[in-house]
Amino acid sequence: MLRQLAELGGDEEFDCCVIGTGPAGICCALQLAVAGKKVAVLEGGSEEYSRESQDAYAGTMSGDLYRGLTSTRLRFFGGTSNHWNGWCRPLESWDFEKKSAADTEWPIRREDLDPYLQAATDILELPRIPADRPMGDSGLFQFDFVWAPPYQNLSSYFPVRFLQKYFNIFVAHNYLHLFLNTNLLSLETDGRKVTGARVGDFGELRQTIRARSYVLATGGIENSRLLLWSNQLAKGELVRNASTLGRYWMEHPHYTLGYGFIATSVMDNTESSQRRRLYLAPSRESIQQHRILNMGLRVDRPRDKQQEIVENFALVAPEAGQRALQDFNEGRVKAFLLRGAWEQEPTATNRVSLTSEADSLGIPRVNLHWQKTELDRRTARVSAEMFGNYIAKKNLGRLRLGTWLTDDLDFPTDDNLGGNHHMGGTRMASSPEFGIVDRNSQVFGQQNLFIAGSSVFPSGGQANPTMTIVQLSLRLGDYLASRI
Amino acid sequence: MDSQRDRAGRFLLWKAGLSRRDVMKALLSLAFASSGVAFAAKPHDSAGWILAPGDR
Repeated sequence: MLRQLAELGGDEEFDCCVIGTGPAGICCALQLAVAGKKVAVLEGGSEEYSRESQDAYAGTMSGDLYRGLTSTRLRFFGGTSNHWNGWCRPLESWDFEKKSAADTEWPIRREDLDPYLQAATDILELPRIPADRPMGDSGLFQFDFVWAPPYQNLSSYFPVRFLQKYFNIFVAHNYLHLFLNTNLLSLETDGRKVTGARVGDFGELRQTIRARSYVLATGGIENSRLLLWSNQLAKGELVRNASTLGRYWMEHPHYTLGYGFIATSVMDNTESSQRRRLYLAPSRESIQQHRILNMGLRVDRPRDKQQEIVENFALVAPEAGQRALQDFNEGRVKAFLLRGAWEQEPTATNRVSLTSEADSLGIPRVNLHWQKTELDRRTARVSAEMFGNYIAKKNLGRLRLGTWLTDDLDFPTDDNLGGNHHMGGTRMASSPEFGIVDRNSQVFGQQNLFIAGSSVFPSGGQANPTMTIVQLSLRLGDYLASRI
Repeated sequence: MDSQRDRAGRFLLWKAGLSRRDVMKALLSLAFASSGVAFAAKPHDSAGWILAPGDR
């Protein structure tokens, strides 16, 4: 039901207060409501975009060039699902393990999330994920993302928008108490448990919401920001060991790694993929052998300059190039762009921190520091080489690596840069020394405070995060429903 | 004033989406390859192209 903050009684208590209505908050709240729990659901924005709400996302950035803090997320009901592209795939089992020398291990395993795969698939309205196929002895395997199918008679596909799918359900449901334009100002604690969520609208109205448990689900930057601020107000009593708070923030770097040409028969093998691209990832053994992180290679068809790509090859290998040009003209090979979206090395220096400037609610704005490492570069180069070496050895095509990889130049600035995937900052860990939440997403030292969303990811794998966010949130909802 | 040959060369570069540096690297690779200088130990001695045996 839709509630008004002004009408909230001082003695009203909820079983749970879920803060945020992106996929994480919605899935967790639904799970609790289905279990018969009375849930307060807080959304800082309303049911549509407003500049006033979105402005709370403004901040500064440092480090490598990155996309804007306001353009990569949305602050109204449904959150960033209102403009996401719908790419889905669960993490691999080895994404939960330690890779290379990087700090990538989760305190849970894929088996802990598998029970929620079918429910997540239903929520996101996804088809079955095709089985992975090894690519010869390349050390790579071919995989697929899945998307919600296109609507009948429309060529465009529409990923699930949580606003359209769930807003009316939240308004109608008796156990879901939805408060719009209700911003979390701080979480109050007695040192062992959260005693209230201080909230306010964009005017003068201020209230405290009481609940038996609290779930912070405000996104991969805001979760860190609001915890940092609340912890500052609570003089460190909310997150006692805050050494990792806001840190180990990650993206999936997205860059073009090279271009080349490849046998048409190989590209035609991608028909099972809805986007007609070839998706490749290093096997677990390859990741271990080459001491790299996970990588999603996308062999994509360029929009133009296809023949020029093959002609470029003819410049360095004239005879082989002439044969390739003939194959190209007769349709036996096609030009491709090799793009990569990979697992970024989690490092403590990549972080969300508070600045001295506050938003209209009085909450400090963030600075996001983001830099890629040598391991990131090596992951990109080694993965691309695995692909290039294989297609050359099998005479299936040739790859030309980008000069930024071969000549160790800076990362390009005129590329996608990232996938708008905000991860880390309140990472899941086995002890408070290494993270903010435990294996059940409970904040260490607080009996009733939990975090939902990709901010708990200790590492990001190469798959887009929404599927994992939904799985984790359903798991958290289940866990809370059994406790309260 | 540009010679006709220079203009033709620039046109070919533009058409292939190449920089002068790309071409210089490619020409150097070719020169080394034809002179028999051992330059093939690195996989990326051909302006970044990963070659197969017998490509050159």
